[in-house]
Amino acid sequence: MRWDNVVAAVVTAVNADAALSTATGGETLKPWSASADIEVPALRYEVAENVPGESTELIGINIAYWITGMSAAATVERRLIRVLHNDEWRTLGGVYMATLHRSTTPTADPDPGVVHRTLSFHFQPVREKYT
Amino acid sequence: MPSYSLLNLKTLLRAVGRGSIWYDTGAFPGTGNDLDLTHLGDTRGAITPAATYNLSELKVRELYGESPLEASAAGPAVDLTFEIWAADKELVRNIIQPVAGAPGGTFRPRPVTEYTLVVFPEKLFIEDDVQVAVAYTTAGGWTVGGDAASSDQEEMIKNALFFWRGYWTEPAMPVYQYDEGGESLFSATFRAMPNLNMPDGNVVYTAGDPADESIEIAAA
Repeated sequence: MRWDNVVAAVVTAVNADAALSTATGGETLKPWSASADIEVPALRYEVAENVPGESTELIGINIAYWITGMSAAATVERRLIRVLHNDEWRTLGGVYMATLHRSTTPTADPDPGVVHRTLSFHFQPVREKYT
Repeated sequence: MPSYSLLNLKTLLRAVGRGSIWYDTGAFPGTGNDLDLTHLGDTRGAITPAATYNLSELKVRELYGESPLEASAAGPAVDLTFEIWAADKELVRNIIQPVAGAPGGTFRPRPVTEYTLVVFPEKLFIEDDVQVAVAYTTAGGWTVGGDAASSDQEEMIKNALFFWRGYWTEPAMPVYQYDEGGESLFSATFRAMPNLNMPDGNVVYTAGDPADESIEIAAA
């Protein structure tokens, strides 16, 4: 089980990105919670899947954002992919793993003018017994 | 009077689990020498040994049809195939190579580079999710993590395979792709060769603990 390490690495990397911080007005990536209201702009994540493999473990993390305006949305999305996607395995936040952007899906807009989309990422570190 | 009874199916061993592949350069010099092993790398999927014998059968078809009256077997020839993550250039260029040091082709044929190869059940090296070292001494036998091997661990060693001499049939090459995180998985084949330093019955390979076959893999 390594999703906790991966989540920590992802949150640290996303929050450290200055361009993203500027685009969202200093908003940080937080866990998605059903009990808390979303105030635009917002960045939320959830661990969507966790599939143990033979020697690696696939962890799917969805990151949703809410932001006003298409150009800001494009900036946020581009920065998230820039930070969290790499073609090769690499070390992110001390975890050596594959970090892949798999897809982006639009979600129903909560309010006029607000762009709300969900990016799906796959992270694949080695399993805990090999760390 | 012979008596026959079924095995206890609940206690039969049915699984071995993942294997780990270890190598030493050169053929094993024979009993009483240190067998120093290095972990080859991470594999995916099955590590499959396939052994075949050359059979010579005496058939008396007029009397017994295709049922051989006598048969003798020569061999076995064993190929060990598995998929290995081949992204490490040391592994690709220098280790999984029919001819070491000449990975890109030679002007003339050369003898292959020989290796000793061992497959251990991987769980032997992991106790309570922590990786431990496995060691062997002639006097003390097997130790795991510094302690004498438990009976379970002795059973795992019985599922090990020792190939005393052999070579890689193809050079490892990296695989290039975007998908799957760019993973580079290479299908490797290790072909066992007879090692005449080994005792009769263990010339090509030994299954299980070599000490049971009077083979010591340590000098002391």
